[in-house]
Amino acid sequence: MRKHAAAPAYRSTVAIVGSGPSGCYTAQFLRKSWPGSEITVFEAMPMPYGLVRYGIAADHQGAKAVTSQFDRVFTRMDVMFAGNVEIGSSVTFDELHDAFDVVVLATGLPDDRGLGVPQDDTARVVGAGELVRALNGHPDAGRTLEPVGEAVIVVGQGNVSMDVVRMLSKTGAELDGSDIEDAVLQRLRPEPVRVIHVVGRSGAAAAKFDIAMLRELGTLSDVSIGVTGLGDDEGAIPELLSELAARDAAAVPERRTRVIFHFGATPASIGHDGQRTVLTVVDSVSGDERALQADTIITAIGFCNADTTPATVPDEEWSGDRVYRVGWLGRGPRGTVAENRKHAQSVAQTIVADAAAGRFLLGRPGLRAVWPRIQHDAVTFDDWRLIDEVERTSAGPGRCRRKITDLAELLEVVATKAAISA
Amino acid sequence: MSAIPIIFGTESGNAEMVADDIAEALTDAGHDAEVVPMEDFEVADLPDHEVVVVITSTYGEGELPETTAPFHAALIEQEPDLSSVRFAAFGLGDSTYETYNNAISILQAELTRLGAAQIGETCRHDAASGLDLTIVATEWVDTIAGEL
Repeated sequence: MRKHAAAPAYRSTVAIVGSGPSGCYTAQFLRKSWPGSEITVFEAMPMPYGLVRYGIAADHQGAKAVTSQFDRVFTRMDVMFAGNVEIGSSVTFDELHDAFDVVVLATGLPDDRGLGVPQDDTARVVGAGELVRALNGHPDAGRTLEPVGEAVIVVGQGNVSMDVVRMLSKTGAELDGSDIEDAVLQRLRPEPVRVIHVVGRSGAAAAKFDIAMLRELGTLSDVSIGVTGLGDDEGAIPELLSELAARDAAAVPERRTRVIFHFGATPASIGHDGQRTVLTVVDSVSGDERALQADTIITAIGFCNADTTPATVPDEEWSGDRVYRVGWLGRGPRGTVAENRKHAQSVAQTIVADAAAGRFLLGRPGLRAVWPRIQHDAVTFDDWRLIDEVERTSAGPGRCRRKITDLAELLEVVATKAAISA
Repeated sequence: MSAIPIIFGTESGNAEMVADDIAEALTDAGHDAEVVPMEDFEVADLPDHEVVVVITSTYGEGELPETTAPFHAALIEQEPDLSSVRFAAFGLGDSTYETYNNAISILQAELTRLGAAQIGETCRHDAASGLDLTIVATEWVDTIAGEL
């Protein structure tokens, strides 16, 4: 990193803010199409990969394997990683904009969208994103999470909802090979969850989750599946649901967790009845209200930037000439990693085309302009590889990684290494 | 002899990465190899190549990725005579999905139907296995490199 900072021989300088999939793909595409550019990926966390590390469910390691590609972006493609550098505090947006020819914002959408219905203050409501982050060992997530209890309502019928259902109902053995944060899982689920209601306003044919997610749920050894509001919906998902519900109705299995899908059920209000949390839903066909009781409601209806007032959240001030937005921040919280890769590809093409058309002038100094200010705190990619090694080698039985969740411990690992190599 | 085209179709970019790995392994084995995205490959030129390597991931429910589909459609439409062509096939999938690695089977069947002869076995990497893609690909290249 110092070498690059001291000897810039680049024709253009690019700052990418955020090292999640959209940021890394943009770096990858830009590097291929714009070989003369200096590219730096800034990340507020010391560790790279954002949503891949903290958003993709801990038991979907196949999906997390895209990090092999991203590793190469930093190890072979001459892209620099500056972790533990939060744009908006360590370096302001304006300073970044002044220092780099191109600024790409790829900070994603980190917050759970609220239900937007009247809600009793004493009701227990948790966001799915918060829960998944905590189960993924995010240092800042889940500090206040309490046990979810034996009955849970998950609102939303997308893939994140299915991630939550799966992780709250899998047995220990079914989590083998994952890097789930066991301490958090134990805290959330000291006793098995007995029933999970999965509530959504659409019909089963319009459910947003992938059928593979339902199929996977159907293979779990300790889960039985039920459904209401299926009506006469047709299609692959309604058919599979009918099949699973028939299987589990006939067998009356001794399975510990019952997952019941409720379609055409629009949440109207959240209240409480004694210790229990109550979700009132309106049936989309009859218009009738009914109440579902649970210990905890988990909302899984999408993501946003809940509060744009902190200086570190990209608001409308973070815009202007030479500024581009990519991934969820640019196009909304829709689509898979692969779809956001395509967006990254198109944004990279736009940047190169805009530069070629002379829409902006090149020649800003790039990383060397901000490096003196951040060098003390910045975590480099070599630092991360050391952390990565520590995390992999300290994994417990049946786990592929033990994430370092204490940032002080993490920075100590890095500092110790720095002292040894000095 | 012209370079062996390593033709890949991808959704997440993993197939492109393994195309680079396979090209590198072939180069190490003394062959001349060139990585080409499937969407940039002219199917009409296919009969001019003695050997090709095809790589594709599988999308969703066993479907072809967006960059693989036009290549497959062109094979069907143009019906090139591939009796002088030999190919090796590498697939990427995730057994979390039931019809995993379906796309490489579709391509393999189509190339065979058009007269091409397959070299070695189709390698099917399973992302859910936790096995390193690069290691799996490199070991697979060792099994076919002698027959190229």
